[in-house]
Amino acid sequence: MKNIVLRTHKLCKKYGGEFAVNNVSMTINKGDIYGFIGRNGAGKTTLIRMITGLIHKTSGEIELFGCSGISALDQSRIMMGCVIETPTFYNNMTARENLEVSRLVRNIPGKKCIDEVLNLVGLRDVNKKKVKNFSLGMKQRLGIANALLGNPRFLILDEPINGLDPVSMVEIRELLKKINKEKNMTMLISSHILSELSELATCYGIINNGKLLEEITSEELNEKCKRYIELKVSNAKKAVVLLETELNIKNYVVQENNIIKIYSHLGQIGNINTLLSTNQVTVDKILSKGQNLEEYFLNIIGGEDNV
Amino acid sequence: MCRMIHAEIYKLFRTRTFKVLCIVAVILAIISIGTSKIMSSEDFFRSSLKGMPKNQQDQYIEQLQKINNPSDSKVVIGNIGMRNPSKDIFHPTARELFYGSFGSGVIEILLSVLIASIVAGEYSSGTIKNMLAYGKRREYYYISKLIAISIGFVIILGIMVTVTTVGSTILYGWGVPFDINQALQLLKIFIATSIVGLGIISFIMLLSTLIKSNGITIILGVVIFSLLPTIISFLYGKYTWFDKIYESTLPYNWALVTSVHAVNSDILKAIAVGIITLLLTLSAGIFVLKSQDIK
Repeated sequence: MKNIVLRTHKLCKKYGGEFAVNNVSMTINKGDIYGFIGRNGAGKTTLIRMITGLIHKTSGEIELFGCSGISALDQSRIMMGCVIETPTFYNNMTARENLEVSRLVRNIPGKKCIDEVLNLVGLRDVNKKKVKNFSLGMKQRLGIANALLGNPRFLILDEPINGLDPVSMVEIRELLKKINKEKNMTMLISSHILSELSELATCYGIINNGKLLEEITSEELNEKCKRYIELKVSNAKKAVVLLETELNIKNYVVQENNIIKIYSHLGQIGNINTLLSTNQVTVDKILSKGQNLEEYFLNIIGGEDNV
Repeated sequence: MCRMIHAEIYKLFRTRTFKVLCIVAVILAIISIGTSKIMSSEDFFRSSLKGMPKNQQDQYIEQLQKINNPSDSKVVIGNIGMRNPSKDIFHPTARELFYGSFGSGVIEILLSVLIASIVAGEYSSGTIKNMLAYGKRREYYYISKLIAISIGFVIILGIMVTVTTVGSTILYGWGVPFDINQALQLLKIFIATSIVGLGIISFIMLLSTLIKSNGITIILGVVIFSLLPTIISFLYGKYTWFDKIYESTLPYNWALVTSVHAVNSDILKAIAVGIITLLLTLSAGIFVLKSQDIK
């Protein structure tokens, strides 16, 4: 059985009469990098704030490291690190001083950890610079450093790569991958930059209008999003022989109703159509299918919005 | 809890607002000494009343003395600022200026600024998220803030009182022979004032937690503790019920505890008002914070 780090059960948050989060049941296993996807106002940050204890839930359950109940949950939150929306700091203090405040509040022993996290995020050379003079990218890095302070077991990053330049994005992505791999740190990352998220996440949760529409692993997603050519023909057996012998197509599956899915030769739709037509195999339908994460997300959201 | 208090004190000493308020406290103390020096000069008064005949000048000065200390009353209603409560304004003593240096109505303004920066500032800058997102109990957070602000308050008040007292001792002398009882009396007044101050801090903290805005915290602090007591003071002495309410307010008790004529029962009453306010507003503040959604 997998070690569960976070489990929510029918979690709800109501503002006035409106649900900001509606019956969300999600599960994050140890070592996962959970990509949390949703539009602005979908409920991502509200859910994250409930997990971190900043806002009160209207109903439902939160279980963190197997602990539920108010005081047990508070105890287990010590094992978290988080960046919620834009990282915020005391502007008249240096990065080191801000981390010292955080270290004291979170009861982390020893000051060595401050240098470690500053080195890790590439901020070791900003000793006397006050945070008010930091760029947005530097603040994001400091936010991640703050979250990593004291080696938390569960990292929550809400839009961690906002404001980062492309080089920094890659650096942060690689850093998070490294930490996940080396320390087996579980992560919940929400981001609008789905291409970045797809490079990082091992599973995804898609939220829209406060409802969690789908939880899916990256393997399942890859399977669902795999690009292929879908054919509907009059005679599947004959078509397959022709495809194998004439075009050397081996990577395919035949399904019911004479449907063939071809996972190679994606740029040869025309050749395939010509081959089959000239050999008296009627092609009723020929389509290029498959999606990337962005398209998959839009498809799911679109489907929900059309309900 | 100890680590949270440590963190709050660490922040306090690095907050620009606190450093600026310490400088303001020094400036106020110097102004207080300077004003008393000018006021103590009879020649200065007479030169400003040049056109008047001598007997009118004498009458005017006599009136001024009376206004400054009307019938030895404990509290001069509606009087705010760092006062000169000397019996004879031309011969003030450091002992008298010590009582006037507590800055009734002024320290509340400084406190409002400090609390706005430390409490409401956390909301407006969003740093409160970093403090509360790790399962820290909100009552600990609130109490830590109260303790840190109280330390800041005692330091600012200490600067105002010490600079004024030391400066005026150099200029005018203590006034009576200084002995251990005098020292204990000073300490007693300072501690009693600090306790009343705790009530004021807790009250402004509650406001700040409710409204979460730096500017409005300062405005409300100034209005409630400086302007309003002065504005409504004209009602004092007209209605018994009003007098009773007025005498239970923090601004009145601050003025009472720092009065030259206050006796032990006055000091105890002021302390009781301070403690009761502290307990009520602290409980209310914790309740408000615990029920808040931090956005």
